This record gives sequence, C-alpha cells and structure tokens, in this order.
Amino acid sequence: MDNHENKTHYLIIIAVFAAIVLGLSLINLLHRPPDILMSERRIRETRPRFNFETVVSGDFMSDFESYAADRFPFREGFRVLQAATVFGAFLQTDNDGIYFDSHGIGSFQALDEESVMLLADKIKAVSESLESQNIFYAFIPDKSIFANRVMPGFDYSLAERILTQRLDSDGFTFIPLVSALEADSFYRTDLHWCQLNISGVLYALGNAMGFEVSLEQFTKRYAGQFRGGYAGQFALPVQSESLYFLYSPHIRAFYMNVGLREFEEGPVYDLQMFHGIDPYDIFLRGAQPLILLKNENAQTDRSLYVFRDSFGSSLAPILASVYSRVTLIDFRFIDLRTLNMLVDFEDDADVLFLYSSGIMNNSDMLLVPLP
Amino acid sequence: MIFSSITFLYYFLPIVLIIYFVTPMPNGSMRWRNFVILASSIIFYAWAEPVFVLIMIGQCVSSWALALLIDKYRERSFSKYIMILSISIDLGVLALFKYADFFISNINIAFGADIGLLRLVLPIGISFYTFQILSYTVDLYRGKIKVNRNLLDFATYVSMFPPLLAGPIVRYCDIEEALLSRKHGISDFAIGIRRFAIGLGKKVLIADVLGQLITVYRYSSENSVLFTWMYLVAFVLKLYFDFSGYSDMAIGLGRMFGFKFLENFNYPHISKSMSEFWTRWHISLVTWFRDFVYIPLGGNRVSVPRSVLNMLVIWFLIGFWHGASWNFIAWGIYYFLILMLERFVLSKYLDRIPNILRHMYVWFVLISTGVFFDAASMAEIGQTLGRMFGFGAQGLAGPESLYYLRSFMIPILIGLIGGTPIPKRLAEKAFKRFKFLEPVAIAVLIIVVTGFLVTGSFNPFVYFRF
Repeated sequence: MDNHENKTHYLIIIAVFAAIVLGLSLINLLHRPPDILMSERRIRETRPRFNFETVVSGDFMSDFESYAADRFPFREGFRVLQAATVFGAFLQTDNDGIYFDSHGIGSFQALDEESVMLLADKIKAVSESLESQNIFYAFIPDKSIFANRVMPGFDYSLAERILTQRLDSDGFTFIPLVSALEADSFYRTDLHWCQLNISGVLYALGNAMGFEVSLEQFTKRYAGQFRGGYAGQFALPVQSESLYFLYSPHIRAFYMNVGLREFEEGPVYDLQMFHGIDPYDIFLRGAQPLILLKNENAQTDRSLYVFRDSFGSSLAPILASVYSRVTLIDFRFIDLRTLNMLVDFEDDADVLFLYSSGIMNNSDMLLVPLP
Repeated sequence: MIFSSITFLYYFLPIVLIIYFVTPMPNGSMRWRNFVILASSIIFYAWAEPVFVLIMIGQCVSSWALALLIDKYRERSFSKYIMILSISIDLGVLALFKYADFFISNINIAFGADIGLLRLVLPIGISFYTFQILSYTVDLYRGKIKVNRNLLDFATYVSMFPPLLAGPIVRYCDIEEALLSRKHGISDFAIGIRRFAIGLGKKVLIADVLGQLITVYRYSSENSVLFTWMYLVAFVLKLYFDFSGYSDMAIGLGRMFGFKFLENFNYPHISKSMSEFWTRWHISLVTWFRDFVYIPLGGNRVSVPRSVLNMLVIWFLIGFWHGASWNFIAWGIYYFLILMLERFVLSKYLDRIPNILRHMYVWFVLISTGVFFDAASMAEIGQTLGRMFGFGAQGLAGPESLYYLRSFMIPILIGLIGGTPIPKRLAEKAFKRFKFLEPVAIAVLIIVVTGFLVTGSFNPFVYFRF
C-alpha cells in the first residue's frame, strides 16, 4: 500500500470508530427510553443519586454502570446480537441459563440446598399455627427437567429428598408432581404451566386429597397471543403462543385490600392484565397477597387453604370447582403475623403448600419468621 | 471504571478524546494535553477508588519531591539514602495495604498472638503504579533518566489511565520523550483503535465467556476429572485473554494519545518450554524484576548456587507480588522448581522431543500452575490437583461436565487457536487482499462487544486484584 492508500485506510478506520462510539454516545445523550422494559418485564434502573456520600461509598459509580447499560439506546437490538452470537457463533447450549429446544424456551439454575431447607422450616412454622390435620405439600419441578437434553442445575430429586426428610411427620402428606407433568404441561415461552395441560397434576392432587375434578362446569376461552417471560430473556425472535383459560360463571374471586383489611370482589380472569407486563397475570391478577375464591356450585362444602406462588393462580380456579372456598396466600406479599390477623383458619379445612422451583431456591422471599 | 464497560466506551472515552484533541499545543508543548490526561486519569481512578485516589496522589507527590532531592544531591552519598527513603515510602504503602494482614495473620499463627487484622481494602492497580514509580526512582538514581521537575508531567506518567490498573508496567525511560513531545498521527490513532478493539474482543468475547465456565465449576457439586480439566483449561485461557486483552487495550489507548508502550505478551501459549513462556508472558513485570532485582543481585554472572538462590528470590517475589497469600508464594516457588528442572535436567531432553510433546508439557505446567493461581487456600490446591488425576473426584465425567463440554466447546477452541499467531496471520492476509474488511471487522467487533456489555454483568479484570 502506498502512503496515500494507507492514509485513506486509516481514516476509514477512524471514521468507523468515531461513527460507532461518538454516534452511540450522542444518541445515548438524547435517548429517553420508556421506564418499563417490556421484553425483560422489569423497570429500568433509574439515574443514581449523586452526592458526597454516594460518591465516596462508590455506590454512585456502581449504580451508574447498571443505569448506563439499562438505558443504552437500541438495547433490545444489542441483546438480540448478543444472543445470536452465543447461540449462532459460539454454538452454546444456553445463554446464561436460558436454553431453547423443541419444547420451547426454558431456564435452569443450580439448586440452593440451604434455601430448600429454609423453605421446609418455613412450611413447618406456618403449619404449626394451623389446627388442620390435613396438610399436604407439593413442589412444582422446573420445566428444564423435562428438556430434550439433560440440563445441569436444578436437582429436583435432591430438593424433594431434603423437603420430605425435613417435613417427615404425621401431619404432612407429600404429593409428588414430577410424574404428573411433562414438557408440554408448560407454556413454550414462559416458566408457568398451562392451565389446560395440568390434568395430571389435578389427578395427583385429587388422588392424595380425596377429590376428582370435573371440568364440565368450565368453558375454554381465548385470551390472545402472547410471548412469555422466557421469550424476553431469550432475546431472539420466537413465535407467540395462545393463552387460554378455563372459565366458570360460578366462581367468584375476592382480593384482599391489605390497607383496608377487607376483601373486594374482582374478576377471576382479568383480561386487562393481558396487555400488562406479564400476560400470565390474567390468572387472579398476578401478584396478590390474599385471595378468596368462592363457588356455590362446588362439589363439596369444604375449604382449602393454598400457600402458593404464581403457579397457584392458574390452578386455584379449577380447585374451586371442588372446594366451595379456596383461600390463596402468597407469603411474598404478606407476612404471617398480618395473615393471622386477617384470616380465621377453619380447623377441618384442607391445607396445601404448593411451591415452584423459583421459591424453593429463593425461600428467603417468604415473609415467614422462624421461631 | 473498566475499559470493557458502557461507561468507559460511551461516556468517558469519547469525552476525553474530544477534550484531548481540541486542547491546544502552544509551541508544540504537551503541558495542556498532559493535564487533560492527568485530570481524566484521576477521574478514571476515582471512579473505581474514590478514596484511595488520594493515596495515589500522595505517592506521586512524595516520589516526585524526593526525586528532586536525589537529583540535587546526586554527587553525594546522601542521594542514596533519599532513594532508599523514597522506595521505602512506596513499598511501605504497598506493604500496608497489600501485605499487612498476611504478616499479622501468620505472626498470630506462628506465635499464638492475637494481633487484630487491619482489614484494609487493596487499592486497585497499586502494585502496577507503585512499580512504575519505583522504576523512575531507581533509574533516576542510576542516572539513566533525567529528573522530571514538573509535578503535573510526573503525575501524568504515574496515573496515566490506560496502563494504570493492570499494566503493562510502563518504565519512565520508555515514555520520557513522549511525555514532553509526541506526535498524534492518523496512523497511530487508527492502529490504536485496532489494538483497542482486539483487546476488547479478547476480554469480552473470550475471557468473560470462559469465565462463565469457571463460575459454573466453582458452584457445581460435580467434581469429576473431566470437569476439573475443563475448568483449568478455561482458567488458563481466561487468564491470558483477560490480561493480554487489558494490555492490548492499554497499548491501543496509549497509541491513540501518542504513547508507544512496550508489548506485554508475545503469544505465550505457543511456548515450547517454560523458560520461553516467561519471555512471552507479562513481559513488563519479568523485565522489571530482572532489571531491578535479579541483575543487582548478580544475575547469571555469579556461581551456580548463587544464581539458583537469586532465581529463588526472584520467583518468591514474583509470587508474592501477585498476592499476599501462601498459594501465590507456592505458585512462585513451583515455577522456580520447574525452571530449575528445565535448566539442569529437562533442557537436554526437550530439544530432542517433537514440538507437540513440548507444547503438551508447557500446557500441563500452565494447567497445574493455574491450580495454585486460582485457589482460595493451600488446601484447595491439594484438592484440585488430586481431582485432576481422579483422587477425590466423582468419576471421570458427569452430566454437568458433559453438558458444559458441549456448550463451551467452541469458546475453548477459539481460545486455544486465538492464543496462537494463526488468527493474526489469517486476518492480515484477508485485510491485505480486501482492505475494506478491516474497518468492517473493527466495527463488528465493537458492536458485538457492546451487545455483550449491554446484556452482561460486571466482569472486572483478573489482574485488578494484584
């Protein structure tokens, strides 16, 4: 190359670099992205507070790093590029625990044994405050254990062993759910199970708790096409899937307004939530501390208390076809002491603890103080 | 602040570059531009160490002032004591922050004492900039360089942000001229960009990706032989791409600002002996110890036992420089033993065996030294070394190791090939034939890296902790 060619070549390199770095910096300055990151289902980081204390402690700097990455222009496009590199160029089988196979998208994470032990202790602590003799517990395995290839991470059999050993007493009946589920029991793009595909679970629960579910009083309704939480984490484009729900006009839902300390009636399936951050929230309005389902046409006049996470939201309306009163308690949003002030537990009611792997691994989220 | 972050790439760097290049150079003087580098370096360092930046400034001022006295009393023996005082202050600060708790805890163990630990946080990059200052002080005393009477210029040398946190250790004599007068050519800037982009890619696309495998291994309950080897290969590769990536970025950034720092790596993974490896790995540290410790001790021009002792001292110090713990000292001693073995026994045989076996020998040593380097304790070294050969391991392989072998096969292969000159040769051939490919490759690299930075978590450089 002669000098002139060299110079042109170098100028092009500088121009390319300037266009990317200065260009994106400039766009970044002018860019005002919405506060909610719909694809990742979360609120973006806010600008960290700048003052003497936050600077000296280093909090401002570390928070600014997260803020800068979160608010960066074309974030979605860059995430697609990252995922395409991981799966397309590096041929990796997962991207930070997010994988894709013929059953759709899944996620895996390692089992936190201490968290599982803590969960068992919390279940014990809650059950000690109940008079019921009919206490059942079941755990929902992560859909990754049904993936095409053996996934590392969540060792469900070990988790089950820890829980059953720790809750091994007369008052508890364990209901295994692994054999009641399969990969297609779950949405293709979401972590949750699909309400229409959990007949095996209903059978397993009914077998242990003494009921048989009939879906005759339900009609299948269509909510719309959606992409679940995993789709956003996966980043690459995926097909949407249909969200259906089982509707019964006899079931009524009452949501606890903790501030007012009273139940307020609302829809069992809130279709307005379909267009929110998480379409799965149509089932009993998503995150709720305390819900009461009533069904005058239920098979029995019995009551059921379900200590649950989000998986319980799609299961409970079906259980309400058996029990005339189903109370759903989510300890992530209400603590045990408040609960005892709001609910008078019936002595002969059935009690079901139903938690997914997410809670098994993060049981510190449950607001249950240990003695 | 780390180079591989959105904050650096899209906030700090463009602002500093713009300010730097619009700053005038009256009569060719670099004073104002040096001031821009100094101010930006202080902000850069304060971003990581908002309090400890004062210590760095303090060391700059004391070393600069004492250097003036060394120069003033050059003809008298008094200057030697000033040099010793200056070195003592710098090493004292390093010892206080880096080694005090190590000594205290060992005294407590040895003598059953109960001296409280200081629990001081190690300021990032202190080992690097302290060694830069020491090289200035000693070289000045030896008369190899002229004293720098301008505090701002001297502080610019010490705190210059490209090599500040993880090297290369820049000797004052290597940039003395450039500090006072340097050219800012288009070619230098473009070559700097190229080098910076390569370093960025090495760090984010190889080192950080392989770092995931290391993290997975650490948190896994599977300790099979396969998983242990995969972890160690990934660790050796990560260490190289992380550290040499940082050096590439530092050298590239320096070039953009008109400085030419010496190379710190020269494809160490293609070495055919460990003696060769240490002429290719962390060159600035090895030459620093050679010039400031080994040669003053007599180097090779002494009796064989004495030169062996000198080597032992050097490798003890290199190990100790890396960290205040016994595993780093053991790492240094291990290298000393290997090098002595090569010098007195293996060298005869290494020359006769096929290259492939020599490479395998080097890789085996690198993997085994990785055990020392990454261990949290001496006990862990024994455990990991045992697992490599099946002792205390859960079988040859397990579901996790097989899963991750499949998942990390390509990144590991990229790492293995990327550590050789092959990619560079191929790229040079391609860029020579299709010139447009180079800017395209740089653009793609920066954009893909940005994708990883936007998505990923914080991945500091391994050598920050030294």
